[in-house]
Amino acid sequence: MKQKLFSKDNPMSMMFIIDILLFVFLAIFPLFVNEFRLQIMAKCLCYIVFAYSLDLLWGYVGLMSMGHAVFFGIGAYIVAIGYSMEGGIPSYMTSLGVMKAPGIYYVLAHKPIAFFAALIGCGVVASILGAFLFTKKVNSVFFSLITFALARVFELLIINQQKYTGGANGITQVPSKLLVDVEIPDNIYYFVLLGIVVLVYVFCRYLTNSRYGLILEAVRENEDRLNFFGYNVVRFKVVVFIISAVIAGLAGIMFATSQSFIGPSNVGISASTAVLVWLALGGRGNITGATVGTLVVCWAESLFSEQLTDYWNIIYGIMVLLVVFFIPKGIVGTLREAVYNKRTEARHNLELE
Amino acid sequence: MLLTFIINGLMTAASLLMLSMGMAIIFGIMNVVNLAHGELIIIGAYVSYTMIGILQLPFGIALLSSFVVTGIIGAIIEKLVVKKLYGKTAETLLVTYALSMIFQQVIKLLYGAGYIHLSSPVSGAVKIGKAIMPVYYICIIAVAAIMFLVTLILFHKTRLGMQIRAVSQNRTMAGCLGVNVKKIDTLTFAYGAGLTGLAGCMIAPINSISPFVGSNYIVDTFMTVVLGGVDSLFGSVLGSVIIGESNAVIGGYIDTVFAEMIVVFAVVVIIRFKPKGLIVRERR
Repeated sequence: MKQKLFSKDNPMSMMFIIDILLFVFLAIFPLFVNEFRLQIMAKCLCYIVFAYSLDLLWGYVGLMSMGHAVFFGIGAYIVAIGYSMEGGIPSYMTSLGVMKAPGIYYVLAHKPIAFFAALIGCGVVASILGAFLFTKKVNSVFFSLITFALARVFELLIINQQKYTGGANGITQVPSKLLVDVEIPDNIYYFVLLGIVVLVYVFCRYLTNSRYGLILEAVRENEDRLNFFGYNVVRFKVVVFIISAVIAGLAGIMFATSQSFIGPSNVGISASTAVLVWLALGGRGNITGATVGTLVVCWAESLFSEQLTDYWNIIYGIMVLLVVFFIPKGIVGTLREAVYNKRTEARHNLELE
Repeated sequence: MLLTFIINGLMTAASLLMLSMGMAIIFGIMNVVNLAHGELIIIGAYVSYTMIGILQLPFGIALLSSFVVTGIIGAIIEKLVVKKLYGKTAETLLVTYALSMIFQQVIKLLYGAGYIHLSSPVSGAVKIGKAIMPVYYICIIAVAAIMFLVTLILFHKTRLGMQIRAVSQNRTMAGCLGVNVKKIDTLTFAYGAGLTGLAGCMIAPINSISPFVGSNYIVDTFMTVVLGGVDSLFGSVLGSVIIGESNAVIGGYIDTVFAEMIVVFAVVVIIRFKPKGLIVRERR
């Protein structure tokens, strides 16, 4: 029986209400703050999309990728390299004496090509990696460790190839353009980003509430049994890995163009583990948790590190410890359980009377 | 050229073996993935820096104290944190990552963010053919061999080692037979952490150490343990020789980052086809 979306007994309805409230809050946020805060919130919006991508993979399928920032980075770097070609050879290259960019850079200088190349690049890398790893049952710990190592290698590669990637300084002054060759001012770009967030949100909700989403959760819960039922588990895993990678790449594109910057610190191990922390704090396996966790951690980080730069990492570490030990299901998961249990209990009591 | 690279590779392999032996024990025997492993190495290095650089004590005392200090820290980590999370991989990864961030920041607050400099306790070099090998490299290889032998003897010839293996093979049954399972867990973790700290102390004079370089080591040590096979200590030897030599030789001819990439990809391929690593111990 299909439950009504907005009924008291459907735990999803609570999530929808929270989501709608959050999006309304994000939409009216620019009215109350200065440009600096708005820029931070724009960064949060990119990170929310990034968190959605990992939530699909970790929360629903149970594949804990510890190197998801690689896809974020592939998307961001392809677009950043392409877009920064518009004024001739970019300064990070000329300052090292490179006067002629590789041929592919001229191809990427066309905005739509760079945009789609970024998304397709993520998809291709994910499909190769996924097809390679999932066709033989690789232990889930090893999947985490392999992706962890890839994040490290990717970061090293970016730093090492300074001539072509800007090295440790990253690529700066990426123009705020998306798809078409029109520079978008920051305050309007915020709403463009919000629009993308809502679109990705709707897509994730649609995917996870469909029959496909149920199968994904079944993969997480009991892979072997699903295999016995005749489902091709490998295909589901590979496909969701590709979807997740492409969304992460989209988040990377949003980040590079809205922050006008991408550097190796945004694509390495620390970025990959940061998104795991957002999901753990917000609650994984429900899209709402990704939004909540990202907003909480990003704002805590930017507010704390303004004041207590030296102690932020300690506070962050302690916060993770507290989350794992006291609210292992995350903020939203705990809330949902509390509300849902209370309702079923009340109904149970009613039936007894 | 090649000889120099191979000798360098031998040294890299020996230090990798030292660095990853603790990981092999904690990951292989206890099945805990410790992302704070890199920071345990750094703690060992800083303990030796405190002993030698600040307190002017001899190197032997620094070695011993780095073993003891990291061992105690390991025991505390196990008692307070890891103990509650056995069997929960995702949570363990998150928690140990959180610990690594806390350690980094605490070390930075205590010692500052800069690099520390330690002179090696023995100087001089020996000539092997055309290549020159510093005496300290030989010391590292010797210490790695001693650590490995001591660990083997501990695990296979002593009562404690037998209990450790019993607990790792069948926890419940070992508990039924009167082994204090929780105490064994703590001791195993502490011993693994202590070895890691000792290795950190040994490699401190030949590597640049700052509070934030722990993550440089963690990927290599993971690769070593996973490549060799988590079940077996001999696997770590094989893994460290393969990874150390290929890093040194490829890195010497082409580029160190390129070497690292090749090694990681090779390990991924090997894991794909031999998921248990190169050396698999038969288990009943």
